[in-house]
Amino acid sequence: MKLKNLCIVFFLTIAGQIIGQTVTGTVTSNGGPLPGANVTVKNQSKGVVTNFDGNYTLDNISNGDVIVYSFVGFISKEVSYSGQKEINVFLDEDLVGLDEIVIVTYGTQRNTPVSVVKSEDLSEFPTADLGQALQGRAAGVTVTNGGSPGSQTLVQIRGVNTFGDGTPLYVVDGVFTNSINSLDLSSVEKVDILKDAASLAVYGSRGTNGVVLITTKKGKAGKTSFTVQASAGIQEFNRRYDLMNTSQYIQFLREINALVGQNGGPDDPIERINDNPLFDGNGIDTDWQDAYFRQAPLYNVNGNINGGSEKARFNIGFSRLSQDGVYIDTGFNRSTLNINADASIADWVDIGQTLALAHSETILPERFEGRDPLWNIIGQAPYVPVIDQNGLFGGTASGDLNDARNQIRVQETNDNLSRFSSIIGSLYATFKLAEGLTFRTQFGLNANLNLFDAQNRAFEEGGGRFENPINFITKNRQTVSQTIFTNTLAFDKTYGKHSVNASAVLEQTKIKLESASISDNNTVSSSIPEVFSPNARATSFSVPENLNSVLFLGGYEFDKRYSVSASGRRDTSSRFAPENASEWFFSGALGWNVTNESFFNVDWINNLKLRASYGETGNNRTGNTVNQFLPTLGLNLPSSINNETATGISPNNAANPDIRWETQIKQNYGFNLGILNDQIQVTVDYFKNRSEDLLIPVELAASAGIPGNAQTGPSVIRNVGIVDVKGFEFTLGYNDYKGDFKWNFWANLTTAQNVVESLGVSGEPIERARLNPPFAAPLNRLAVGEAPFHFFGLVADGVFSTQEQIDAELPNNSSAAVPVQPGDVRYLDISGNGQIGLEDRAVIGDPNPDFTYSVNLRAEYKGWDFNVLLNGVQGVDAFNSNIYYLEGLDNGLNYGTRVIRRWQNPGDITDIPRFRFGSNINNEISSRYIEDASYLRLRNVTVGYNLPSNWINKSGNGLIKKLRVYVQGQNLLTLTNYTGLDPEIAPFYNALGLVDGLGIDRSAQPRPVTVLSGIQIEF
Amino acid sequence: MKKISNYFLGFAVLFALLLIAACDEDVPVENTNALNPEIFFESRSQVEAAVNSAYNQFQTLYQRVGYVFPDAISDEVVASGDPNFAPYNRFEFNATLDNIALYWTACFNGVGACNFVIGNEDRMRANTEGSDFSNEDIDNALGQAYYLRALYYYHLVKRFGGVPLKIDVLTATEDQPRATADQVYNQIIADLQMSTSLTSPKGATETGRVTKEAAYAMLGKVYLHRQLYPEAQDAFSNVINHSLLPIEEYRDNFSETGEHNDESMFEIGYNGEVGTEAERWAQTGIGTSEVTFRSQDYTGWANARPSTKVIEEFEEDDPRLDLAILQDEDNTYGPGDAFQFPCPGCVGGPVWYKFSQLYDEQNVSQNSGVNVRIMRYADVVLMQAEVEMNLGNNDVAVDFLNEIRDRAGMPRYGTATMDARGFPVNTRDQIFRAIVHERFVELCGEQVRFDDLVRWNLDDQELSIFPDANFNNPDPSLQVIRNYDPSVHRVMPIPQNEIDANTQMSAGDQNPGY
Repeated sequence: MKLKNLCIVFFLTIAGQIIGQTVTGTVTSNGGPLPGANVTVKNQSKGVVTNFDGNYTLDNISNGDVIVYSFVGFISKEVSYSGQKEINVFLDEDLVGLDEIVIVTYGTQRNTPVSVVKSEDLSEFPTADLGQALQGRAAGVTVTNGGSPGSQTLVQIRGVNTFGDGTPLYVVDGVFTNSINSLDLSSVEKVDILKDAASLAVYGSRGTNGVVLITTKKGKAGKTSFTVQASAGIQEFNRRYDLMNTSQYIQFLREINALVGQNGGPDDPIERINDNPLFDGNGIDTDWQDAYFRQAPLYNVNGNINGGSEKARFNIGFSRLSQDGVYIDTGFNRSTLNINADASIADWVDIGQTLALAHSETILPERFEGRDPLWNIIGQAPYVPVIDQNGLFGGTASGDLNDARNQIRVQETNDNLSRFSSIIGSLYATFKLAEGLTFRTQFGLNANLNLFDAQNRAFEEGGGRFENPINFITKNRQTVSQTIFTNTLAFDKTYGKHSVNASAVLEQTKIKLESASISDNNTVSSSIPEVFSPNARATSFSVPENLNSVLFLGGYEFDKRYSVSASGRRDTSSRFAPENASEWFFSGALGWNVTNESFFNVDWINNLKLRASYGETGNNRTGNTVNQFLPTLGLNLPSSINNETATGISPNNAANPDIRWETQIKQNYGFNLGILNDQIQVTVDYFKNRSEDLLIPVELAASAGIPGNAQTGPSVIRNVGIVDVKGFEFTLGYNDYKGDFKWNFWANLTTAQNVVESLGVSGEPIERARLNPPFAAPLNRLAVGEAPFHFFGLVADGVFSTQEQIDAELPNNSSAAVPVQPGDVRYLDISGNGQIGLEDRAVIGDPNPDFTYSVNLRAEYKGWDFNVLLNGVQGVDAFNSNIYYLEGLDNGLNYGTRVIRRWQNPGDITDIPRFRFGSNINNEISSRYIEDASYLRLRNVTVGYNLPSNWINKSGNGLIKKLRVYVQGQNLLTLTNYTGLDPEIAPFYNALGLVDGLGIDRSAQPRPVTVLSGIQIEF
Repeated sequence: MKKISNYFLGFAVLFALLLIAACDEDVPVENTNALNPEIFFESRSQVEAAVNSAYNQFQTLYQRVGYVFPDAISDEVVASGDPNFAPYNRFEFNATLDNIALYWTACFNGVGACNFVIGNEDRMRANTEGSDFSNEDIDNALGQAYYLRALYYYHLVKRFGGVPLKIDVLTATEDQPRATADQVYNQIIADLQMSTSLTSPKGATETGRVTKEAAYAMLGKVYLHRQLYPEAQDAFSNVINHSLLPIEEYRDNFSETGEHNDESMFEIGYNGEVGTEAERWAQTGIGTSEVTFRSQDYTGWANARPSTKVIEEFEEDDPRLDLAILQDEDNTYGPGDAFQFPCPGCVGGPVWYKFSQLYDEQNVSQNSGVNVRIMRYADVVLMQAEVEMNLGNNDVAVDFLNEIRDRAGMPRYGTATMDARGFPVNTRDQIFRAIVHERFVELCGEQVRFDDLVRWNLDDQELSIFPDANFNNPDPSLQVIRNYDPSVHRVMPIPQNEIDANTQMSAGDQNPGY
């Protein structure tokens, strides 16, 4: 900066102080007056906050001063003062949704990349799960939905950082919870997603997987407003597998019968065909897919009442969502009520309360006897009717060689209803003890009741193969109560150019899960869904957990240029033996606002801030078990002695006395760049996470002799291994708010590279997810130097056409336990030993994406609004189990029409192997099942229209302030090469809530195309 | 402002108090869901419960695979294509088949439960004072546990050869390498010897529990298999209190109503009770699943049919055939033979009558409460015949064989009738042939045939040809060849998950050929 300019600035500053003028005005936004907005003078410590009507008065201001208007979530505006009496400012919303300061109940954290998603982005998107609404909204956040309404959504923040439960921590108004299915999006004010060490270390023990902070709507002073919103729509999924019809299937069975007694053929002919060579299906050609899929309606209503005075404010929200699934007899519905109030009862005391009540009901697709629904749907014989002429559910006969269950029968005779009631609430009081010094005490409660009712009614399939005369009833009653008592002493003050904040926090968390299960079976009647017979039995268990935390947090900023912050948190968890229970987690962060430097004079850059952070987080999620560091005896190993069931007790766990905290070191380096007064915004972050002592259930050798899994025996939680994740996040925003046509665009892209660096002392790979039936072997594993949960198996390349080809490639084939024959899958002999065996397995796929991205485009023109959201995942592999269902060819099931071109005679050149009866090597875990599941999806298109106010006022007598109608399409278009129904593979969870089922398509319900229309009215 | 300062002081004190109050002593929690092994074996019911759980894993084992493996790999059975049966019947098994892992895991879980009893002998003995159990109760508990551990290891060594030898409760969960088959047999013998000295005779202990006679019978069987004939002879001589049922009651050997009769040496108990649907299918031993699927599997669905070979082995006038196998409409079944085969919803013959519910009921179901007969006295008698033959006492051997013939009302060996039927017993070899024949028909479908063939070295000859219609076709080109290789298939592969998880085992420890 030239000396001359400096002199002028200096002179003006001094002059201003001498002259001292006053300016007043109002700050408004789309939503009306904006209370609490900051009005400051650039490069001075002077500043005020707007009142409840958005008004401000700024004294002692001089000509040439630059007044900065800012508010979280809005684009700052600068106005040069030149003697105006009144300056009214309209702030545009910052749609890029980025922040670098987050205010949590503990205090303020600086220099941290925070993604903010605001209510406007959420509320018109009717969804059962908050996670779904976050999809594509923030860099670094990968969301994977299940297509079944009410199913769990996988939210991963910055890659796979743990081998265990990878879900982030959800905090609703300061209360930790996992029941985010209980929140209606219309009651949410905003969602902050914390990703880096500086913000996460504050959450210490629970921050490893990221934190999603949810703030519900609070009352605002002013005239009471009432908003109501309703939408209704239809969901449909029209993609189908191409399956053999009755005549193709019967021809296929004839060909199988011709193989009886030969290698690969069945032992006995299929009786239905053998006994009646003219059997033609009797004119029945059931399309089992059509019988299982349906058009499913969806509707959503919510309302919000908001108001209050400067002394007391309230917000009441309510909602009702009902969403059916596109598989028959599945669906979700939920009712919620939110009541938030706060009041100032004295100058120095504020009190308040939040309360979110919800009740939901979910019916998921039935997986009876461990079978995927689509296995039954694909495999069922098309000559079997859904309902036969006797009114019974159709079914195969014993001689049919087809053991597919009638999935319609399964879905209709089994009822698995989950009902979930939840309370998330808090009471708090804030005391202003002195200038800048506050004490806040908060008591939070998260209590929920999960009622699970399963009834497997007696049934009989017409074919006679499957029947069950017993009516089974199981009822689980589970309560989780969590109390959090948080006391915070916080200091926050600015002395001239020095701004200081510090907090000391004490937090006590008590969690108790209690579960009771009652069951019954009777042959009396299937119409009574209650437990009553002498066969009734009951069991219960409870899992208590305590967590005590002490947190110190501090920050300092100099001259709005340099800032530093640090925190230390000590957590003590009951999940570990007392000597391992406590752990400190530290963090530190640095920030430099380059634009506030005097030497910085690039006009077109209005904001450039560099930041770096380092911090530690922890994880204590070890599943629903108590004191895993101690051995226990299981009480439920009964035996029948002399026809009486006698109690049996024996060791039932392998204790790990050394179990301790899983820890993670996170680093983050990034910058925010604002160009042309934030018309273009760019944020780039580089992150590097190293997780150590990862907690994972490790399978002991089955010979350990402790009951657990039927095949693998027991597992024990161990601190095993190190995983590194590093990647970039890019966010780019552009807006053009000039003129009638306003539009903005933003896009984000996240890369994350996950590598397992160590797996404990032995370093042996650890096998993980199973899908059994149909696959006996594990599908994925962890291994040093590889991505976590990569798929591992044989490498398939076509089909052996002739014996000569086999002899040439596999000289030692004949000495294999089961030699490969012509028509079998051509696996590559990786080991080079001349035959195919388990030693030929290799890494065959990686379910961790190379990068994920999303693009959002919005526009407004004279009352019309337009919103498009695309998101995509690139470079991700999936295990497509449907390929087995479509071309397994090891039984007399129905298959895809592709099996018509299977290998049948030497010399056939095809990609589909021969029919080979019974479990065999053609269906070993192999690259046959691995597909690229990259996709680009048109997630959402919304077109809305705000009725002009003169229309509204004519009909509404001025009562209605705003009326908007809109139509929305979801998932209208998906670009992918994946051959399964949906490339967005729903996660599956085991009892421990693990994410080890990453990218395994177990024929989950696909995400439908949804078209809906809605209306929003504000009174 | 003064007032506010007072509050400030007050809150500072309160906050300090809270900091102190939140000390870590409050953090640990108590596990109220399970008992602590350090404070157990303090009452008779606790001792009994520990012993009961040692029986538990056999229920898991014989829910399916305990029957299926020895049957399907023998020449008595032709399997359907059901994946629980077909790979075994075709000798197409591999290390990743889940049923092989299930078999292995159940056996070792059983060993673990036995070790829990055996390894806590000192604790039990120390607790007798002032308690409601005596040293005799402890003896009985230990005797059962030793027998059951031997029986679990017998099941392991027969299917896998040498396996890790887990006999110390303190190191039981640590990885161990494979022991040799000889070491396993030696441990089985040692355990059975302990059991014979600790258990009570039949009638002096609760029905359904291990008896002294059961221990001696099993000990004799293992001695016979180890070719220790004098020891076997001695062990069998201690098997008293048992007898062959008359032919009219022969069906009691296989039915639910006939359980624990005088011919039964030891049974795995089922009573048909099911907890939840999940428990029924769990196959872990956890939960109430006192049922076997055998009736449904074998008899209803005919997943393991009796082979033509075993049916043809019966002499035409042998009444045991219709009591073992249901073939067609000529067969009747049920109480008082009231029903005509096939049973409603059943696939049709031939199917196994043995161990089905059809002796007592018209229908089969998945929830069968028919006990597993681990050994019958008839087997003891036939083994005694074999022992005597091997000791050169041919006449005594034939006498034992004829006990079985007499019970069946069949012509005796050594008579002109039997000589004419091709079973003379003048030489050791001829007696051996008679033993092979008699064991085949008397014990068909009772999980002894494959192990017999292996120890007689007849496995290659008998198992290489498919035992169905054309097994004895004089034209060898019309005989269907089975994929049996005695250098491989005498034992199954060690489950891959064991090799992967056990740090003391590597791929090189797998059985040859897998």
